[in-house]
Amino acid sequence: MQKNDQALMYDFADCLAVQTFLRMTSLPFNVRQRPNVDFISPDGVIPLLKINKTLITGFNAIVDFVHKKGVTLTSHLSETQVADMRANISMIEHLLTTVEMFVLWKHDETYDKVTKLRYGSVYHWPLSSVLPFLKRRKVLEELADKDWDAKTMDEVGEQADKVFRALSAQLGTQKYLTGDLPTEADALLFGHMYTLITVRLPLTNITNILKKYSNLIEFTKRVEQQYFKQ
Amino acid sequence: MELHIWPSDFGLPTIDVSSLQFLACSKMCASPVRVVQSARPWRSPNGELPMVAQIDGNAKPVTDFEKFVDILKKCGQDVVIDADLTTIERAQLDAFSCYLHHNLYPAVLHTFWADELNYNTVTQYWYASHLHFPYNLYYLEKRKKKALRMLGGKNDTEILKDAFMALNTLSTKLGDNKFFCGNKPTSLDALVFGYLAPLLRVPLPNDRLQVQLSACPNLVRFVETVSSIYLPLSEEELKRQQSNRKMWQSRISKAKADKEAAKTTEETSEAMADEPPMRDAILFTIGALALSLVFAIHTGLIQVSVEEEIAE
Repeated sequence: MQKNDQALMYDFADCLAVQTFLRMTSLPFNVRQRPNVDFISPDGVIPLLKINKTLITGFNAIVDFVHKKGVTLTSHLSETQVADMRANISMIEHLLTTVEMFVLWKHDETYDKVTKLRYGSVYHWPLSSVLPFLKRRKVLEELADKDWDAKTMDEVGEQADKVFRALSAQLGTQKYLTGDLPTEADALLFGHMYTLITVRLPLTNITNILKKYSNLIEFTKRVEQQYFKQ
Repeated sequence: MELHIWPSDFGLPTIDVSSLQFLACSKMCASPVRVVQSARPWRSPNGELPMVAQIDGNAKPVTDFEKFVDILKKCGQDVVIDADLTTIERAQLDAFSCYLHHNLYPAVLHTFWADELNYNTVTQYWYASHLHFPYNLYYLEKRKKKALRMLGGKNDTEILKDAFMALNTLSTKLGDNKFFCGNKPTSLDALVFGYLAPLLRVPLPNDRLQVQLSACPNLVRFVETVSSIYLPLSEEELKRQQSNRKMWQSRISKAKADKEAAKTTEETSEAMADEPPMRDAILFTIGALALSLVFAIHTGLIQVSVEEEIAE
């Protein structure tokens, strides 16, 4: 994973999700922080898992890999529940990440005060100002292809609200999204919720929206207690 | 309200995925929206159909599915779409629409726009013949480029693998139900119908996704039910489409034959391909050896040894 002071919101969330997932499966692992992880990963996707000489990138690929080795968190679920879980993962992975990207790269103040500094922090001048600029151009193109470039901050907030509402409704008063046992969807959810709660941004509307859903926040605290207190 | 959509063909009320979704959704709640078959996408704000023009002239035309559903909910009809859902069902509906958009839709795009054979045989020809001359070139290029950008760096097998998984997920989710959330249609049903119906109805030369879809009988049944209840075609349209069918069939069988022919020639050329390089290499070696020999004799390098032999 990247260094803590360099990682952006969604990257940090994904790294945390993978750590949570590996802790849930109680597999042994070491966390290494590398400033150039973007370039270690063959396809630029982080986090990456390294086992001997195999590199696996991205949350889903890691979960698949672990599944193929015979370790899974979903054996107790019915097929319909697995379908729902996949849908949830995809919603967090795509919709919520796009919201986070939008805030970090599109919102001018956030970009100037947070994203640019963080992303460039590990490089020397002039790279520290050139690389964030190039990355921003790339991300904005991606957003335009998704028809997100014309969205206002309020509309983006609505999208975030939709994700939180859906997840909060499914969580209800249960311990995890699908009952008493954790799944990979919970790991991903925890990664993103924890990041959103703890992040400090000039723009607070996404975090404010999240605060309306108290069961999501309690869920995050509970998972943190259980898996990250040593 | 006016709903502008692409014209109908192949037994579908409209050929395009999102046009179908808009149309199915408006029919499911029996909305009085006026359907206009149009081939003028430049009139829409984002240059794409479908588009919903509102009655009061000032409101901007809507091209976003979620916004369209909101309008349908608010327009005061007897049947309100998604009204009887519990919060959890609504949550699952949101999650699923996102899942389908990222797992199934890329494969549909790939099948119609990125697969060269399908694109050349069906998609390009259809759109080119419905739009007028210089504009159709521009529009097709624009839309194809956008589709390719949306597919990103993923390769064909990854896209298809995701889609197969999505189809299986959908099939288990549907089970033996009539619709995805019990007995009443929802906006999710409209979305699924939009993705699946073109795959089932449009004949294509490269049909891996179609074959996979036909292997899920409950999804096929679902598409048939929705189209017969909500989107029946009029007699005239059926007749018109019937008259075109022969032309399409001949195009597709021709494309398939071409594909086979290309495959066999490729195989034979591969068998042949080994020979020329080998032959060329031998000829080249002989030529090079001969030349160096001539050079050596000419400069007198070999002459010395020859004379020595004679002397002995």
